Amino acid sequence: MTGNLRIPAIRADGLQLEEHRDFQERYWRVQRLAWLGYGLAMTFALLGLTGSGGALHMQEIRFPGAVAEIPRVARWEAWDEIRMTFTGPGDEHRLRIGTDFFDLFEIGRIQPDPVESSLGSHSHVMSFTAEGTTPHEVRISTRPMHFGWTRFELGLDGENRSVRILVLP
Amino acid sequence: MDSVVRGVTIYAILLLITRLSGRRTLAQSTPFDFVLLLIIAETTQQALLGDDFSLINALILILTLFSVDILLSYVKRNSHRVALWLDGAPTVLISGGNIDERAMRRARIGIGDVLEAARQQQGLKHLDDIEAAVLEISGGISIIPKRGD
Repeated sequence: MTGNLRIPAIRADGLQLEEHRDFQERYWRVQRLAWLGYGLAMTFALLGLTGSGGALHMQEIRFPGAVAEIPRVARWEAWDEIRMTFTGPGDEHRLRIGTDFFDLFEIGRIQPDPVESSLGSHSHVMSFTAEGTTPHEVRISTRPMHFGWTRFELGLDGENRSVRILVLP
Repeated sequence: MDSVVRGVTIYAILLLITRLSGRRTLAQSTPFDFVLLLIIAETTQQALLGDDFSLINALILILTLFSVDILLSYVKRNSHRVALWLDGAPTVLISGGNIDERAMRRARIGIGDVLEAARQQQGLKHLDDIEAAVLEISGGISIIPKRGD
C-alpha cells in the first residue's frame, strides 16, 4: 500500500514522528560552531580581510622615494583604489604595472591623467609630470573583473616590487 | 555559464545559512524579521544579477533556482540522510505533559512561545492543558491538547 514511503513509528507518548534525537544533538553542536564561524567572518570583515575598508584592507609597499597603497583583498566587480605617493624629487614620475594585473583588473579613472602611456615589456608604463613640493599623489580606481589570486610587478620611478592581491568572489 | 554558477552558489549559501541559523527565526517571526527578509532578498538579488540586467540572465537564473530545487527534492526523496541534513527533523518540546528543557534551550524556544502557539491553535489557557508540543520542520510549533475526561 505504502510502497517505498517511510512511515514513522508511533512513540511511547503516542506521537507518530521520527525525532532523530542523536542527529539533532549533533546538528545543534554543528549549529553552535557555525555561529562562531559567523562571528569570525564578521571579525575578518571588520579588520578588512574581506575587502572594502578596515585596518588590514590596504597593503603598503615602500619604494625609495615612493609608497604604494594597494588593496590586500579586493572584491569581484567592486571598485577599489590604488594610491601612489611620490616623496622623492623630480619633475616626472613613472609608474609601471605588469600585464598580469590586467588579467584580473580593469582600470577606471586615473587621477591625474598620465602625460604619456606606453607598452613596455610585459607591462604598461605611465608617466606623470610633477611640479612644486612633494609629496605627489596618483590615484587609480580599479575593479576586478574576475576572482582569484593575482601577482604582478609594480614599478615606481624605476624600482620594482612584486605585489599580490586576493580577489574574493 | 556565469548565471548558472551564481544561481547554484547563492542557492547553496542561502540554504546553508538558513539551515545553520535555526528554525527559531521562522517560528517567531516579528515585523522586524519581515524587514530582515526584504533586506536579505535585496542583497541576494545584487549578488545574483551582478551588472547584467538582461531578460535572458533573469530567465536563466530563475530556471537554475527552480532546477536545483527540483533536483534536491528528488535527492531528499531518495536519501533519508540527505533529507535529514537539509530539512532537519521535528523536535519534541513537551511530551506527555513534561517539558524537555534541553530541547527547548537548544532550539531557543521559550515557554512563552509554546503558550502563544497553544492559545492561537487550540485556545488553551495553561501549560497544564498541553499534552505535547512539537517544533516542526517548517518552524511552527504544533500543540496537542490533553484530552478532557
